[in-house]
Amino acid sequence: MLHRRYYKLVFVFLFPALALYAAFVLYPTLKAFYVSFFNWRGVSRQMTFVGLQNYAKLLREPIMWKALQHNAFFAVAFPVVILVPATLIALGFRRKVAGTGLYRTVFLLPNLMSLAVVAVLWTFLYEPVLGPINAGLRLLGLDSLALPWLGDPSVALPALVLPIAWVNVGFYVLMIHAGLLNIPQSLYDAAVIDGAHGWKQFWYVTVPLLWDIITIVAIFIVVGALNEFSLVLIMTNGGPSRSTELMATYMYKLFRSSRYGLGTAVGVLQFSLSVVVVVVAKRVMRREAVEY
Amino acid sequence: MTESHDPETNGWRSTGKLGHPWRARTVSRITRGWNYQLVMIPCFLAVVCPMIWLVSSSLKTNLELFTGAWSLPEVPQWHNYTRAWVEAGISQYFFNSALVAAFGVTAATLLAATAAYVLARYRFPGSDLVYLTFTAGLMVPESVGIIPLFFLMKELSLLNSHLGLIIVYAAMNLPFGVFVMYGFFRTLPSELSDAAEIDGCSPFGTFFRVMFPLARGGILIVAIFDFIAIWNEYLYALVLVSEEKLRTLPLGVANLNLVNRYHADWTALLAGLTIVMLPSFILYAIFQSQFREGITLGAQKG
Repeated sequence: MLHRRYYKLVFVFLFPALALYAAFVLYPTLKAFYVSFFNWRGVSRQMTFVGLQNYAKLLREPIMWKALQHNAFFAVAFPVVILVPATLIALGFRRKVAGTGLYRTVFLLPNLMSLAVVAVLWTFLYEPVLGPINAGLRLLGLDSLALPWLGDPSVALPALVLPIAWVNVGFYVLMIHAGLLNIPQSLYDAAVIDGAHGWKQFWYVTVPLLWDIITIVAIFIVVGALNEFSLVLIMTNGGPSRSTELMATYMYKLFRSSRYGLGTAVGVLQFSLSVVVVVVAKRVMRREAVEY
Repeated sequence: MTESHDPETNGWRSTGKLGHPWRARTVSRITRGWNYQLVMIPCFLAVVCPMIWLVSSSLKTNLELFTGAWSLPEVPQWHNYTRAWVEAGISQYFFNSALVAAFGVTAATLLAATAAYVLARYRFPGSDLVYLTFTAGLMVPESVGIIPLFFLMKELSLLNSHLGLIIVYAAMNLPFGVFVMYGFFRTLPSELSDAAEIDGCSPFGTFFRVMFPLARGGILIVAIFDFIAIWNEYLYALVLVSEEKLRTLPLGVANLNLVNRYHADWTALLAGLTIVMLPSFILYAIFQSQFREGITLGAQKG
């Protein structure tokens, strides 16, 4: 039990942090759930309780379904585009291939840039006429591939996957590499004696022992896909013709047009979906704890 | 001292040197795992090329930018940077960001350290619950509470103010800070604080003179990650700050991008982007190991 002489310390040290956190993180988050049951246009006196009507309205809203589909597309595309290269690169780091030191330093750089900077930079790169991507494609004689990337509703959404992967791969490389370093070399030596090389080593030694980290990384990536916002807002603002509208950009637009109750309901749905993903992923990806 | 350890002449290294000629060793080091290079090299180019393009284009004239996307600047146009800094208003945004980051990082780090210290080293009713509440914040997406937060700040007259941004940034970075510092304070042996108290230190003295300095490795990690998060933050700044002269750098460059559609000074914008990314890169160059450690710690929070 706590001795009296520490009461003051506990109070002085804990109270400011807890108060700040409660007021500016917890309270708005919890309030969001409450507000989502109201029709609300900003002035508190105009708040009218509507129960689940906001949610019902969202489920009837085609834009919401479009946004959900786009987020789902990201949730499927990101794990492939981010997890696969990140795992391969981390495995290369473990083998200490030539240039590992340089690669390790450089791969994290995009992750340190502001998303605003990344968004503006990639808007330039994708510029249809003068941008370096299309200029490069034309140089290679691939004129038919030089598409108006962000201006074409059929390719804008896939085109956004690249900059998002560009930002995130380096971060997950480091996470996976940290997990790989925890696997003792002796297990690989034993595997070699048992005749396991290459892919067999990967499947029977690396994957089982790395499973916890892979689960966490996959959860991070999918939750990130459901909450993607800044980059898309700056690069396409949900367009052209809503082909890149996401739940978060839709929420932001509802916020800007003063439909606060409805907008908050989108945010709450986003949050709930994230929680579902975490719970389901932990279930599905749970394996017997591997110990050798 | 009679024994000295020289890694060049002692141990396995020297036998390795005798066993393999220098050249063979170098070649094998380069070709080792060569098939991984099939992934490494394309990824390396994909990461580096956009950044090289950015820096090189930021030194071109506007005409050069439009005539050859892949050419290098004929004469480096350093003037682009002065135009970005002065005319495009980057200096004002830079100052705003620096102010918000300085106070935000200090507040977030100090508050996280003190709170984590108490939670890690003293048991009292509810202490576990408080720790859990803090770390739960790691899982909450930033956009959920944004509309209620907007109205909270409005009621407190903290919209369009740097103080408001500082408070929100400090609060939203607490979960990571508390999580990391909790781990650090847990590992410090309690004999140290006991000894300090026997020597007559007050509980506060024990923290500031003994425990805080011992945990500075963790403090540094938290401060660096908080800085990167705050320096680059876009969403909260977008919602909470609308006044032109109060904008932070990410808001500023995103807005310049919009404005430039009418007033085309693209190379100054690219110079502005470079200015925004530099402080984070410099910090990374100095504190690489702290970055790696922070990400490794982050991997455990799931």
